[in-house]
Amino acid sequence: MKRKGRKSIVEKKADPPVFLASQISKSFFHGKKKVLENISFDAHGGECIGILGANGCGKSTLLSILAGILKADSGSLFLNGTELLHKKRSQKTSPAIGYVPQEYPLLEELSALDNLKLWYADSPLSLDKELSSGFLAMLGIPDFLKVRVRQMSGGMKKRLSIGCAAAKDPRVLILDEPGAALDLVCKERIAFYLKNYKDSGNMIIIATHEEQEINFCDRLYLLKDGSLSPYCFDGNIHHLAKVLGGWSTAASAPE
Amino acid sequence: MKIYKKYIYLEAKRMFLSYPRICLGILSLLLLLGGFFGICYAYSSQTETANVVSVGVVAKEEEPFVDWIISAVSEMENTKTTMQFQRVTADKGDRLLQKGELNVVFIIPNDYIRSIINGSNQKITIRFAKGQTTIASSLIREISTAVSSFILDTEAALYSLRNYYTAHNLPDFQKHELELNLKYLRQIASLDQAVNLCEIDTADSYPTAASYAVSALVLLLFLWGLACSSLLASQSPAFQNQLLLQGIGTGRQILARGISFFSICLANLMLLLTAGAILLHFIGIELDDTILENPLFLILFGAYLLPVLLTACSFIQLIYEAAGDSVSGSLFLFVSVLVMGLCSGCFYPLSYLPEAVQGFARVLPVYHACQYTLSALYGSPDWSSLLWMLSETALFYLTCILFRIQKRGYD
Repeated sequence: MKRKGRKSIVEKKADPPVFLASQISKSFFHGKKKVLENISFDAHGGECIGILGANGCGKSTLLSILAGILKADSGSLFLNGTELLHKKRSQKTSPAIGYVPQEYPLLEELSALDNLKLWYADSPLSLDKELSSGFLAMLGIPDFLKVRVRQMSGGMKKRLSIGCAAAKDPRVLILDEPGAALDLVCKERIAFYLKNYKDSGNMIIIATHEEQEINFCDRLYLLKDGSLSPYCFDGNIHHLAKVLGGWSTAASAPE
Repeated sequence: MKIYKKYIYLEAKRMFLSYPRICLGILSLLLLLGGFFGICYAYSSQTETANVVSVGVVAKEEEPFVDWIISAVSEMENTKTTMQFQRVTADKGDRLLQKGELNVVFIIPNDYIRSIINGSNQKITIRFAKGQTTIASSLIREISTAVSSFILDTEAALYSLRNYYTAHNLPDFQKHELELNLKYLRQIASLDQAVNLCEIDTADSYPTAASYAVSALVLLLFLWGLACSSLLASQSPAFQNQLLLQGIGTGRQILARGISFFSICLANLMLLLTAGAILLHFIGIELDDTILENPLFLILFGAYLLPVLLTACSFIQLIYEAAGDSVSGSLFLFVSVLVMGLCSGCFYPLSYLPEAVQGFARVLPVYHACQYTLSALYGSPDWSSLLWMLSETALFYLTCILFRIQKRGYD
C-alpha cells in the first residue's frame, strides 16, 4: 500500500502544504444565509485533519466544496500547487480526491461487486488485486461481494462506499462522519484501513463527532458560526460538547 | 468514457434484474386496459345503433319525388324515431360529415327519375364517415326495412287504384305512371344495385375498434413506468455527486437512465407484439386495410412504434424526476396519463369534447401518439404527429435535466 518515494510525515511538515484551502466562503439564498466565512487551513501528506462542529454548522458544505461538488462563493483551493475551485468540474483533478459522503453513493439494486466495477472502470488499480490482498480486503469487502446493497447493513454500505471512493487511488480522502451509527467491529475495520491509508503518505480530512476518530486525527479544527479555528482536544468529550453547543451533562457539575 | 459505458450497462442491468416483476406489472396493466377498452367498445357499438341517425339528402330542387320520398320514409314506423332527414348541398353534406353533425349523406344524381325511365339506372351514392361503419350498416338495414314496407303499402294502394278503374271501366290513362312508380320503388328496395357506398375522411375517421385498440396500446406504453417505479426513482444525490466528480454531468446521467429504460421498454414491446401476433393468428382476426395484414407486420409495426416508445419513456422519466420518489412518481404518472387520455380522445371521440379542450389536446403527447400510431397502423404515418412527438421528447429530456439541477441547487 505504501507509495514509493514519499517522504515521512516529519519531513513533510517542513515542506509547503500539499493541500491548501484559503479564504473559502459560502452562502445560500442569495447571500442571506452565510454558512462559511473565510475558511483557511492546510494539510500535509500523511496527515489527518479533523473538522468538528455541531449539527448544521456547515461541515458537510465545507467537505462538499473541498471535494469539488459545491462551488464556493470565493476563496481558493490548491492541491500540489494546482488551483481547483475555479476550474470547471471536467477539468478538475478529481481522481486525486476521494469523497465519502454521509449517504451511501451506491446502486441499491446491484451487488457490491457491480458497484465496485463501476468505479474501477477507469481506475489505475486492479480490482481483483485489491480484493485479494489490497485495501478492499482490509475493509473486509470480499465477505459480502455478492450481496445486493439493498440487503446490506449500514456498516457494509459504509465500507463499500469507502472502497468505491478510493478506487482512483486518491491522494486525499474526505470522509463525512464515517463512523456514525456503526458497530465497533465496523469502526475498527475502517480505522485500520484509514491508518494504513494515512501511513502511506496520503491525507485524510474527516468531519466527525466520534471520540475514536477525534483521537485518530493529527490536527483538529472547530467549525462554529461559519469560522474555522484550530482546536486542541484534551480528551474531555464534555468540554468539547460545551464548546460546540454551550451545554453538556457535565456543564452544571462542579469542576 | 469507460466508466460512462459501465454506468449505462449497470443501469440497464438493474432494470433487467427486475424484469420478471416488470413483466408481471405490465401484464396487469394490459389486462386492466384491455378489459376497460373492450367494455368501452362493446358499449359504444350498442349506443351507436341506438342513437338517432342524421341523414343528409343531396338532390336538385326540381328532382321529382325527392321531397315526397323523404317525408314518406320519415313517417315510417321503423325510421321516424331513429332517423332525421335534411336536404343539403353536396359541399355542405361533406362538411357536416367531417364535423360529425351528419352520419350519412344520400346523393341522388341529377335526372335520377329520367335515368330510371330511360333504363340507364344511375345509382344513388351513400357517403359516410370512415368511423361510422356500424351506423352505415344499421342505416342500410333500416332503410331496407322501411322501403320494403313502403313498397308493400304503395303496391297495395296502386293495385287498389287499378282495380277501381277496372271495376268502373275507366280509361287506363295512368297505367304508365303506375308502372313507373313500381319500377322506381323496386330499384330503391334492391339497395345493393341501386346505391354506391363511399367513405370520406374525417377527424375521427378510423374505425372504432382500431381507435380503442390503439388508445389502449398508447396508454399502456405511457403507463409502463408504474411497473418499475422503484427503478425509475431518482438516484440518491450522493450517487449523482460521485458521478459528477467522475466527469459524468447531469445530462449524461439522464441520458444513461433514458437509454437503459428505453432498452427494457423495447424488450417489453417486442414481447408484447409477439404475444399479440400469436393471439391474432389463433383468433384469426383480420384487420382489413391495416399493416397487420402484412406477414412482416411485427417488425414493421414495431419500427413504427419506436418514436411513441421514446416519447413515452421520456415522459415517464420526467415524471419520476419531478416527483423525486417512487410512490409519488407512480401516483403522479397515473394521474397525468389518465388526464391526458381523457383530454386526447382516448375514451371517446375528440369531437365530443369542448373546443378549448380539443385545442389543449393537440399539444399533449398522448394525442399525437394515438394519431401517429393509428395512421401508422393503416400504413400512412402522420408525419406531423411524429415531429410533435420527437420535439416533445427533446423537451422532456431537457426539462428532466433542469429539474435535477434545480433540485440539487447546483451543477
